[in-house]
This record gives sequence, structure tokens and C-alpha cells, in this order.
Amino acid sequence: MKNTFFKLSIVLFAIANLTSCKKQLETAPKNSLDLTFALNTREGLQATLISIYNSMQGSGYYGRDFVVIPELLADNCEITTNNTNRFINQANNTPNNHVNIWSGAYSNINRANVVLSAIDANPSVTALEKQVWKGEAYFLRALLYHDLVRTYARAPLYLNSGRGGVFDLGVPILTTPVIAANAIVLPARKTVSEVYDFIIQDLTLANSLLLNTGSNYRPRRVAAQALAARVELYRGNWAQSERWADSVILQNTTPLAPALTYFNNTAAAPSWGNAHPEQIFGLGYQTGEGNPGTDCLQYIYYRNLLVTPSIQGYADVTTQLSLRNDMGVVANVSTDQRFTRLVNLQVKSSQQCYFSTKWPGLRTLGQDDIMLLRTSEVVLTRAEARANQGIAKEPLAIADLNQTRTRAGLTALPTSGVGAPTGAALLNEIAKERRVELAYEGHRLFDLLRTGKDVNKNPSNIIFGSNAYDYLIAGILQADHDTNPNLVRNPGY
Amino acid sequence: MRKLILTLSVILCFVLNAAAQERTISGKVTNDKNVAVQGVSVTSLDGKYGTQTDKDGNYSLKVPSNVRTLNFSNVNYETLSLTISPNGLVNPILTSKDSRLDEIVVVGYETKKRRDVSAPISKVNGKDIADRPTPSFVNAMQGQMAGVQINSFNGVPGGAVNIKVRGAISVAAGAGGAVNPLYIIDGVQVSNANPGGLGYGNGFEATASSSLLNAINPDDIESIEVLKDPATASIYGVQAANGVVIITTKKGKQGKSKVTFGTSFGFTNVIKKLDILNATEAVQLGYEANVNRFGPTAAQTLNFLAATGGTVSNGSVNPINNNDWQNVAFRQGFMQNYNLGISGGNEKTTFLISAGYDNMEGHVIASNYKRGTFRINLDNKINDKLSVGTSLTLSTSTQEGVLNGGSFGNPVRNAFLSFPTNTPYLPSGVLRSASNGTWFGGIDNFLTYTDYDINFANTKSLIGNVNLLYKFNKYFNFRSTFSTNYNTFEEKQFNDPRYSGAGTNGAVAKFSRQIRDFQTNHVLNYNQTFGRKHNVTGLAGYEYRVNINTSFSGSGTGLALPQFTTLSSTAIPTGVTEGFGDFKLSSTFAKLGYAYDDKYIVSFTARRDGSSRFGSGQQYGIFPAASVAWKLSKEKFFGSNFSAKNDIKLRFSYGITGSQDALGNYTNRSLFGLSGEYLNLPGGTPAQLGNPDLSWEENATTNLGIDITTLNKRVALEVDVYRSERSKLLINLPIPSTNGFTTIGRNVGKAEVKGIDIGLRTTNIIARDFQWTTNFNFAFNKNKILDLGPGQTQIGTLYKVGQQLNSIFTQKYAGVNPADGRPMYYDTLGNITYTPLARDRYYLEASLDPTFNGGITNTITYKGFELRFQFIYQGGNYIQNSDASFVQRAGSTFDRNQIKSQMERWQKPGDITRVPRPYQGGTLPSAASNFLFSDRFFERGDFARLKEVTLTYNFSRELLDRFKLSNASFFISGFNLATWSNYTGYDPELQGNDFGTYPQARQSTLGLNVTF
Repeated sequence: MKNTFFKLSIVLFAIANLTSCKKQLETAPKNSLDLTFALNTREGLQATLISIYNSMQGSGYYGRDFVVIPELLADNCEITTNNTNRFINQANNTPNNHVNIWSGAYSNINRANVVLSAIDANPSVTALEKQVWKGEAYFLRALLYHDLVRTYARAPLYLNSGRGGVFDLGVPILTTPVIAANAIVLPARKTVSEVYDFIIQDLTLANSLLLNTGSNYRPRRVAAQALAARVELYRGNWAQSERWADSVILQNTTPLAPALTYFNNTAAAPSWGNAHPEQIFGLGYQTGEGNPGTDCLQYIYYRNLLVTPSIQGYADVTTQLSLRNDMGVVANVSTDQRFTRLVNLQVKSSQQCYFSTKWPGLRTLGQDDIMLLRTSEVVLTRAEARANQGIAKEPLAIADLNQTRTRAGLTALPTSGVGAPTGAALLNEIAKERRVELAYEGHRLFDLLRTGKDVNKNPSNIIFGSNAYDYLIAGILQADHDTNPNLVRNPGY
Repeated sequence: MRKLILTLSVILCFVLNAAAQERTISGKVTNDKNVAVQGVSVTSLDGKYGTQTDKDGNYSLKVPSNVRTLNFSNVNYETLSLTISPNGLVNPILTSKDSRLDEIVVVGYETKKRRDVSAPISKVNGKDIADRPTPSFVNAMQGQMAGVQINSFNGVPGGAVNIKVRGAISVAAGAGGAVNPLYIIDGVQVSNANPGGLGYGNGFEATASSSLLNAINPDDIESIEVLKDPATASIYGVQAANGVVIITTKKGKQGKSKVTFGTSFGFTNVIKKLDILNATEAVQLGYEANVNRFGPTAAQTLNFLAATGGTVSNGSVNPINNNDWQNVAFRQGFMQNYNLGISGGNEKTTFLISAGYDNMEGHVIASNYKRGTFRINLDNKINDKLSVGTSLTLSTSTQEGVLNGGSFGNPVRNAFLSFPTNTPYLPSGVLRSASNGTWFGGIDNFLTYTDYDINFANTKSLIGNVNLLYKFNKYFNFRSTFSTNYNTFEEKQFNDPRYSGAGTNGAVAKFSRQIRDFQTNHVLNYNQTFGRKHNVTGLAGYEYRVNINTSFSGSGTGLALPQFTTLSSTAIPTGVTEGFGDFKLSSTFAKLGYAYDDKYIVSFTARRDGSSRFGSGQQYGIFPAASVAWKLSKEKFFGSNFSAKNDIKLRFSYGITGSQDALGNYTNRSLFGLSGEYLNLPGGTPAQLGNPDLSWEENATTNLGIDITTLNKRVALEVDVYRSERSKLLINLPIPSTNGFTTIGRNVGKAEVKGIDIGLRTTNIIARDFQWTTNFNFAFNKNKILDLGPGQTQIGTLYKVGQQLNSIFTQKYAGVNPADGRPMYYDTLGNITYTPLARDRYYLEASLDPTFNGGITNTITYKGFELRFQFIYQGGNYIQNSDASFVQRAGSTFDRNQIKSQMERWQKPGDITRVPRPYQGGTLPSAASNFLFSDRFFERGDFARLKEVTLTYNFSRELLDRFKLSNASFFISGFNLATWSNYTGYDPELQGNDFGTYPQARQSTLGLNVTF
């Protein structure tokens, strides 16, 4: 019995011993890391910054939707009769069908906030990297907030004007990273002007931090300035907009391209879609990365992609009559080279179609560059900013306008005297030129909204300030309304 | 030296005994039916003297005069002790044992007799599951156990099976998601969680052969037990909330080595074909759909007629070809099965070696399944105190399959959708297809997939354990077990470049996964009886488990020649992934049992589980349970006569178990994950908001049961009622996405399941050569969601507080307007609407989950013949018949075939019908679509099925002796022979959504079993 008791106690001791080992429940994932650890490394911060670009490459954002849908909601593009069922509701302006960047943009803003909050304390990030990465984070955050505010809020110039209504709420501004459950917040919307102030503040910081060296697939100082010019134009800060645009143009890092390199060098290797000479900032796609596949931009826009072996895209998006009119198209012929060289005429299921070839599918499917800021836009921004500052600057505005006009094969407008447009006529001329120059690139809806114009769609005109106009401004994600009582709904939703 | 003394004393003892005065006792042993019993051991009480009865039941035994009593024992009879009569004759009559009450059941780290158990356990024995034409033992359990619902997900050969114990539920699993019990195979815990792969959700039905349970050859199984109640299951703690299934394999027995050989072969066919339209009818509907929309002379109408070869005369059409694609998709499959076993042993060592091979051709083209299994079970007594045992299973199974769901390559779905004017081949022998422009319609010829593509999967599995048992003394023993479960899964898909679509030029994808699982447990057992009436049992143990899951996949496109089918031959790599996951469990457990006079039984268990899946704030959970049983029949007021013939037991138990299945391996942590790349730099991002309080889901069950064995033990009834409260359910609570995240997991959900299980076994007729027994069982359970977290009353439409899980929220169809043929629906006010809105939806009165199920098995033996037939039934649920929403469109999608009922379409004002007017595209002017998803496509899933009929002939003793066999039998079986159901799809046995599901087969087999 004593023997048994002895043996039993050994067994019990062994069991007790086994259970007391502390490491026995330690496990570690290998495709993810502990968050706190990762954010304290230089590489973790860099990867977080990089992931923002990767996210923007996706088809839900600049990879397709944010470029195509603003064209379809407005008067530039429409869906072909025979189609793959994509974007029909947006083309028909059915309420609740808009771009959907809300959660994606805020996820990216959170990443930018993570970088900005953690980078200063990190000893392994060099001083230069700190400067540039912070600059990029400020730039990206500004870009994201501007995309949010122009999608989900009313345009600054028409707030409280009686025409645009009195709804002046923008979007919530988050500057603190959420990386723990106890940091979850229920933010309220800031006013539109607060959001614009915040964006300019970020861009001013980005401008002071970024350098003008390096690839134009990452933002440089000129990118911050070009975006600031756009943002100030959106809120009618004409002088500021002109000043930023001037600065971009004077630095001459990506001068306005001549027709030869602007359109294409050869038909087999067009400049569009591939390292365009006037790209200030754009998204590039390396082989096998961030590739949206058949959800890419060229697939929805274009039919005969240039990639070898040739692929047929969906080619569901064609050009509306209204844009073709502004392109000067009569009987399928125009003197405007932006029509003759960047629009592909095809008959699809017995419908005459006009497909944009700005993303020709030259490289592997889904890997054409997507330009977000380019010199022509800055020149036309400056033209508009100048034309809005009174008669004195009109000749300068016309000179800007003529630069893109003549390159496209149109005649130059007289800068003064007889035949020189002035006042509203000049602004209309600039708006038309901007529409044609930036067609298919996702600007049209926002240019109409910010200038308070009707959307002249055949057959359904959307009148500025009408009920239908409410739906040109996107509704905030229902899930966010469900979970955040502080979030006020947009009118009409 | 000590040994020598021992040996000497034994010898001395014999000598002394021999010297005592002896006498010869003889007699004949018969049973209660007056049949002589062979092989009864006749012994003195001390066991020193003994013999066995011969085949006429006679015995003769010399015993010393001081032996006054003899013991008569045999496995099939109650042991009897009789005093030796003065004339030296003892002729006992043995009564048959109620084998159920004395059968051994495994109750969490110990074994007990059923009569001593105070909680419900379901058990089936090996012979009840043998000779089934399914590679998984789980199918064979169907309809045999009360409260254990078993459904095939599909009829793929070797297909995965869903087993649900007492209506187990999980919100996190999602609709149609499996809620798996814990499987323990010879002491080794085996997870059957869906392991994923290339094909899961991506077309190929490969989840089937990867089911880890297919590693076990049903022929090797001695018994399967299901622990349904927390009182027994809670010793398995956080893995036991959905029940525990314990599989015990056969072991060798002492004696002459036995060789068993079994083989069977048979055929498999589709159970039913759908009544679809012939070409004339299909073209007629398509023609009307075009005419109604575009007019009789429109280009669309003429094009349709030209493409389908139809000509119109007097408004009716005459197509050229007529092909029933079901005849192309389905075939008669052949299957065969071989098993060989060798077992035996002596008093020190017993062994069993077995091998099996199955080859099954599916009844759907291009699908088949092969499996080989090997097993060795070995037990050795090292000495009186120490013994060692091992069991090892190796298996490999290979599956070739077809695509599933809505894929154009799914032969099952396209068997009824492909337009009947298409024939499979051109006269030249080339396949008709969309790519060579010889095919009508948007669905491609599925033969371009099944004839050319490869969908291949292979699973290899090793399950093994070694255990050491040390007996300290009569009361204490200690067992250490070390086990491993190693599983590799390989999957391959190849799309032939000839039919892979423009620009792709063929594609290859390959996936491989390994699971390594190591477990060890150490258990101290105690069992002692004090003063004859107080029995105390106890155990304490420790267990540790590590599970590591790694995977790798690669894919590419662009093949030079279709004969190149490997990943290396692709021109463009399109993806490479490596997966990793691990979890660890560390647990201590204890159990204490007390029985007074075999009348009052109480038992307490507790387990403390630590899991790497729990958050740091909740790393350990405790799962207690208690049960009491009262053997009423033993009470004095019934009298001893009553208690000898009847057994009545009341049981009550309460216990808590857990589940960690809803938690991912790292769900509780704040994680930084990879997130794409940009300009050749890798991206990463905060990927998960941690929640240190995240932990297990809980199941607290109260069970009340009664067992009655009566009428001379010919009727045995078991009834259990229970209520399970499922709390701490993992819910992904939405948070404002402005935070950069959209959800955070919290243990806030709550639901309940209430149910009843009834099992009834009766021996209806028992005569000399004839016996008829019936096993009937019935289970009913219903669940209700009680809470979905703060501020949340609904998740989607499937989960709503106050409703059953997987409730159906849909439009209500009101038939067709007789005036114009438009489909009508009800709005929220119950008025007719033609354009129902999202708000005009209703909850149907039942959910997608069955509420009742059961089976009835009859076994009739007459001389050497045994006839077994089994019915199963199930119902209370709806099936979402997604296929119906394609074949019931009144021809409005003119390139899809329809079922016959669609000919009753609305044609002219005044027609009363439920089938709308054909209209190309489906949307009549001022109406919702002809095939808008509504209650029209949710059909009752109730069914009864004649699952099995088996006739077995056992060779007579004379024949066996002549061939020098110890046993031999022939059998012929049929499975899924008849089905009673109103379901319009192929098979009501599936659950949830029927969308091109591979249906079950009707099988017939012929087999032979021989033992040498």
C-alpha cells in the first residue's frame, strides 16, 4: 500500500508539473504579426504606407469604380445596349447607386494616421524617411478626405446659397489611429468648410515635407501642389488655386506634353496607359501586383485590348452624345484629336459605340497606369482660377486654354480683342475644354457638382437643386448609420 | 528467488487439491427457450475448477467435495450460480442477457456498463454499419440513433456528411455551415472542420474526399457512441458543445487466429430524373416568350427559331433535335469493395491487421472515388501490472470530380437546363460548344469540362496512438496515451486550353495542405466498493493537444499544349500562397462517481480547458457537470420479482460544455497582416482589432430522462427531454467603418434549443427459428435566437431575435393574374402587388433546419436468413430550391430548359394557373420578374425514405464444417429504394440551398463475408 501511495504521488506530481508549463498555450500566426510589434518596426510602417497605394489600386477605387462611375452618373458616358449588367443603375441614376469608397477610404485614412502617429518615435526610421513618409501620409490623407468630401457632401460654393440647400455637413475627420478595441469612436460629421480647411492643412504639410525627386508613382512635392490647386478650385479660393497651379507649372517637372508624346509614339506603344509624360502622380501596376483582372478599367472601357494574345474586354461604357457634341463630332468625324486618337469607334451588337482608349490594355490585363494628377489638369485649373479673378486675368486664362486646344488640333482662341471670350462665355469655354481634356478620367460628375450645373442627360435631365440632384451625392454606408447615431444622413436618403 | 517461491507454492497448491476428495458433477445447460447452450463455462466459485459445455449443452466436471456451488457463465446469458444438489446433477436454465444494458460504453476516459450510466448515450455496433456502400461510417449511422441527425451534403462518392447532435447550432457557422461534433477515434481527437482548398466554394466538390472521417474503414469499427448530453460530454470541455462521437475499432481476441474476407460489388444509379420538357415543348415556350415580347416576325423571334431548328406551323413549333441531357449527365456506376482481416492472440498479446479497398464510380459522369485503408491494432501485457496497446490507421483516398453549383461545367445542373435542341456532338464527332459556335444558348456544353478538365483530390491520413496502462492495485490504474493524427490533402485543377475561353489558354491550380495533430493524455482511474453497497469511482487527468495546419497553393495560366497539365508548364504564374495556422489546448479534468446499492447513482465532472484561441483575459474556462440516476425498479416496493424482470431508471443531468470552433486560431489578437504590394514593395496593415475577452461559446443543458426495460426485457424505451441554452455565441458586431474596421468579434449571442429524443427497441416475435426485432427512434428539436448582442436584433435576414436560426424571409407569391398573366405577390398589408418591395417580405413558419428526424429498422431472422429493412424520415424544414428558380420561368429565359409544370403557363385571359405568361427576359410590363425569388422556390423538405433493405444468408453449421470455415454469409442490399416527398428537386435529404447539388444514388450491392 505504501508502495502504491508512493507511485501515485509520483504520477500526480508529474501531472501537476505538466500543467504548470507557461509556454504550452503560446501560438503565433505566420501570415500576420502582433500589431504593436509590427508598428514599432521601420518596415511595418513602410508596409502600412504601401498598403494605402495597394488599396487605391483596387477596382472599388481608382482601379475602376471611382474613375468610371462619375462619368456614368454625369453626362459623359453611358452603358451599351448589349452589356454585362455592370453599372446599369449608375448610368440610370437609380438612387443608392453611386461609388462606394466610404469604408475603404476610412480604412486607408486609419493607416495614414497609424504612420503619422508612430513614425516620430521610431528610432530605426531615418530622418529623411521620416520626412518623406510623413509627407506621403499627409498627401494621401488629403487625397482621401477630398475624395470623401466631394462624394458624400455638397459642393462648398453652393452651401447655404438657397440653390444648393442649407446642408453643410461634410465628413467625419479622424486623426487618431484606431488600433485597439478601446479606441473605437462614433464620430460626427464636420462641416464642409472644416473638412476643406483640414485638407489644405495636410497638403501644406505635405508640400513642406515632400521632395521633388523620385518616381511619379509616389507623390512628390508637385503632386501636393497640384492637388492643393484642385482642392482650392473646388472651394473657389481662386487666387490660392492659381498660386499652387503656377508653382506646379513653373517647376516644370512634367511639362505639358507635345502632341507626339501626348497621344502616342506609335500605335503599338501608346503613351496612354504607360508612363505618360505629363503624369504628376499616378498609380502604377507591376506584374502580378494589385491586379484587378477582368474588373480592371480597360476591361469595362475597351473592346480590343492591345495585350498579346488579344483579349476582348466587356466594352460596356460608351460615350454620350452630349460629350461627343463638345468634342465637335459630326457624323463620327471631328477635328479634335482627342476624339480621333483616343476614342475607338466600333459597332457592338449593331450599336455604334465610342470606346475610350486612354487605358489601352497595352500591358498584361489590368496593368495600365492610372493617372490621378496630370499637367493638363493643372493648366486648365489655372485657367479657371484666373478667369474667375476678373477681367484682368482673362488673357492669361485664354493662353492656358489654348495650350491644350492647339495640341489637340483645335484653333487657338484670341486672347484679347474681337473673338476673345470673356466672363461667363470664357468660363463655359474652359469648362468645355476641361470636360473634353479630362473625359473618362472620373472628373465630370464632380466638376458639374462644384460648379452647380445641371446634368444634361438624355432623356433624364437632372436639374441643379432638384430632388434627383440629391442622388448625385452619394449616401453614406447604411451600416455606419446603423452603428453610429452621431452620423447625420444626407438629404434624400 | 521470489518467483521460485511463488511457482513452488502454486505447484504445492495443486498437489494439495488433488489429494482432496473429489466427485463428478454433470448436467445439461439450456436456455429459456429450451435450447441447449454450447460454450457455457462451468466453474467453481473460486475459479479453480472449470469446464465448458459441448454442443449439446452437456458438461461434466470433477470438483472436490468442499465445492458447493457452481457458476455458469456465457457472454450471451446472465451469469447463474447454483448450489450443487446431492445427486451431483445440475441442469441450469440460463436467461438471455439484455445485451444493451450490459454493453460496454465509453464515457469519457473510462468504460462503463450502460446500466450504470446516468446520462443519455447513443450507440451503434459494428454489425449495424457493416456492408454499406458508403466509404464513411457516418452515413451508416443515419436513422439509428435518437437525436443524432445525419445528412449527406450531396451524393458525391465519398462525399462529406453533416452530423448534427441534438440540433447543434452556431451563428458563426452561417447558413448551411457544419456544426461538427468532436470525433474521437480510438482515443484520438480528430477534427472534421472543413479544411478548405482550391475547390471549396470554387466549384469542385472536393470537400468530399478530404473528409478526415473517410480515413476509417467502416469494417474496422467495433462501435460508435454519441455523447449527446453535457453530463457525459463535459469531460471533453471546450470541444464538446456539439456532442462527442466516439469510435472504437475492433481488437484481436485470444485464441486461434482468424482470417476474415469480405467483398461486395454493385451498381449505383440516379434516384430520379426530373420531368423536363422535350425539344418541342421547350422551343414552344421559348417561341412564345419571344413572340410575347417582340412579336412573331421580329428578328429575335426568327433568330430563336433558326438557332433551335424550329419551324412554326399554326403557332406550334417543330424542332429537329431532341436530347434529354439527363441521359448524358447520369450513368450507371459500378462499385466494388474488398476487406481482409487477420486477428488473434494469446493471453499476452492480441492483434488485428486489416486492409480494405473501395472503388466507386459515380452515377454522374467524370466522378469517382477510390480508397485504400490499412490498420493494425496490437495489445500486449508486459506483466501483471503493465500493458501496452497501439492502434494505427493508414489510408489514402482519391477523388475525381465535377464542378458544382452554378458552374457551366456542373453536369447535374446543366442536365436539366441545357436546351434540348442541342446534341452533345456534331456529326463529325467534335463536341458542340459555344466556342466553336455550334451551341445554342448561354450555358456551355458541360462535356467541354467533364471530357477535358481535371478535378483531382487525394487525401492521405495516419491516425495512431500508443497507450500504457499500469494497474497499481485493484482500485487504481493509470493510463498514458500518446497519439498523432497526420493528414495531407492535395488538390489539382486543370482547365483544358481548347475550352478555357479566349485569352486564358488553359489554367492549372494546385493546392496542398498538411495537418499535424499531436495529443497526449494521462489519466488516473479509481474504482472501489465499500461494504458491498457503496461504489466509488473517480478519475483525474491531464491532456494536451497541438494542431498545426500548413498549406501551399500555386496557379498559372497559358499552356502550350493541352497535354501539358502541370503547374510548371504554365506560361503566366497567377498566384502563390502559403497558409499557416496552429492551436493548442491544455486541460485538466476530474470525475467523481458514487453508487449506492446499484440504486442511486451520482456523478460529477469538471474540466478546465486552456486554449490558445482564447484571449489573454479568458485563457482558461471551466466546464462542470452533474448527473443523478435513480434505479426505481430496485426499490423494495416493487418487489424482487419485478426488479429481476424490469429495469426502470430515472435520470437528471445538468452540465456546461463549450465550443471554440467559431473562433479562428488568432481571432482574439490585434494583428498586422499583409496587404498587397505596390511597386515591388510589400504592403501591410492593421488587420484585426483584438479583443482579449474573446473566448468559447457555451452550451448549458438540462436533461431529464427515463429508461424502461420491461415485458421480460423485450421492450426497451429511452426518453430524454432537454433544453440547451447556448450563450456567449460569437457575433461579429458591426462598428462604424470610419474606424478603419467594420466589425469586432464579441461573445454576446444567445439562443436555446429544446427537444426530445425517443428510442424504442422491441423484440416482437421470438421463436425457435424466427426472430423479429424493431429499433425505432424519433427526435424533435427547435431552436430560438434570444440575443444577438447590444443594439442588434437582426443579422441579415437569417438571424433575428425571437426567430429560429436560418429563418427564411422572402416575398409571398400570390399566383398569376388571370386577366394578363402577370405574377402577383402580397405586400405588407396583404394586398396584391405586382412590384413587391424589399419590405414586402415575410418570415416563413419554418426555417432551413429540420426539426424532426428518425428511423425505424426491422430485423427478421429465420434460420440462416436475416432480413433487415430501414426507413428514415426527416422534416419540419424548407429547402431553398434555387434550381427551381431556373427551371420554373415559363420559358422566359429562352435558352434554358424547363420542367413540365411550366407548360401550364398563362396563355389567354381567364386562365387560372400559377405559371406566369412567358416573356423573354422574364419581366412583363408593370410586373416583377417571372422568377423573382419568393416562397414559390422554398419547398417543404419533409420526406420518408426506404433507406436500406438487406437480405443475408448465413451458412449452416454443416456447410461451414464441410468447407472448414468458421463463418460465411452472402448478402444482397438495396439503398435509397423508395422516397416519399413533395420536393420537386432531385433529393430532399440535402439541407439548405439546392443549387446544382450532386444528388444521392440508388445503390444495389451483392456481397460475401467469409471467416476462416
